Amino acid sequence: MFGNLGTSALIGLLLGLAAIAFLQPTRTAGATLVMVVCLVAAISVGSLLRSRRTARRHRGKRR
Amino acid sequence: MKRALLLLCSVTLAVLGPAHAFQSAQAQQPRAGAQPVPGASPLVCPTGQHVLEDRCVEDGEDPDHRSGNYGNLSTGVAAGVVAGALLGRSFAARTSDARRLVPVRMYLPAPAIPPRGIGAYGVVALRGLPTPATRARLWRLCQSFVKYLPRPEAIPNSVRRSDWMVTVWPLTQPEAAPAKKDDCDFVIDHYDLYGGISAIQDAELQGADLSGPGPFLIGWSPASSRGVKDKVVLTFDMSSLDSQESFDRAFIWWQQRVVSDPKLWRHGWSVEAIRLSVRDFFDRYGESALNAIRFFGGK
Repeated sequence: MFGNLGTSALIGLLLGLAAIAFLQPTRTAGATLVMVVCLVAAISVGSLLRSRRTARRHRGKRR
Repeated sequence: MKRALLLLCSVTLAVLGPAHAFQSAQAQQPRAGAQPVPGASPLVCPTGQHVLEDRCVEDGEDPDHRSGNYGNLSTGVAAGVVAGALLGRSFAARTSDARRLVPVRMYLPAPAIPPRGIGAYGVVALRGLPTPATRARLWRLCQSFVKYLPRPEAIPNSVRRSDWMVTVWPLTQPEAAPAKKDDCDFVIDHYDLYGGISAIQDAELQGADLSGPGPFLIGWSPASSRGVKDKVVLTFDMSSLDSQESFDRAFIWWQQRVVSDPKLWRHGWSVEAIRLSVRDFFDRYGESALNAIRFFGGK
């Protein structure tokens, strides 16, 4: 529904919320940074996994 | 205390047990001059005698009956002693579990550390005196120390000194008036540096990793375990803490987990310590990142 990027972003947001709940930052800037880091991490991991999967598929087609 | 409770319970039950046994033995005897119960033995014995196997015998004359009484008595004593021992043991165990260390704070010069007669102690260890870069942070540390741990004068006499867990702030002039008023500026300026550095060195000798810039909370339980290899030393590394709330949390953790339950002491690793460090990291760099965005954004 959201596409790969959307799914990764959604996971990142949820992860960010969980991290904020655990860390309980005292400043807004801290909470923002936690959210940004989680979003970036989730999107990066998502894209990495996708690229690996596509590479594997391509390798399968060549064989 | 434990032994006294055990003894008290044993003695009480040893007295109550035989008394009950003696009463029940007497209750079994028919009263002299009493009317026979229909269907029971029709024999009625005069005063001073009782019924035994369809005949009257003198009270205390029958050796079998007497031995029966003594049998009850000895069983009562044995049961009383055993029950008393068991009850006393469980009660004593419960009271010993309930016994906990009481957190106390003190200002002491390095030669007076550790204070005598206490159960356990910890040291607020700094690597250096305050500089313009560290003053605000150390002031916040001092505030948490002052606000979260009670002074010895506040501890009632009913709490024994051996139950104290003293957290020491090494101070060159503990008797000075500003120290008594908990003036944090004075307290951080007159920190006894030798007390802090030697505590760090002793903890490192015992295997603690204190490579950070500090401050540290270092604790030993029992008090005699300082500097002894293979003994548990508790460390809380506050190197990455910055905000007042984080220092407050650190002292709450120290108070709850460490002081109240030394069984939980480990070699300095805790989820709370990591959480506080990561949180302060994000708080600090989040602010810097926002400032950078504002700078480049032209606002």
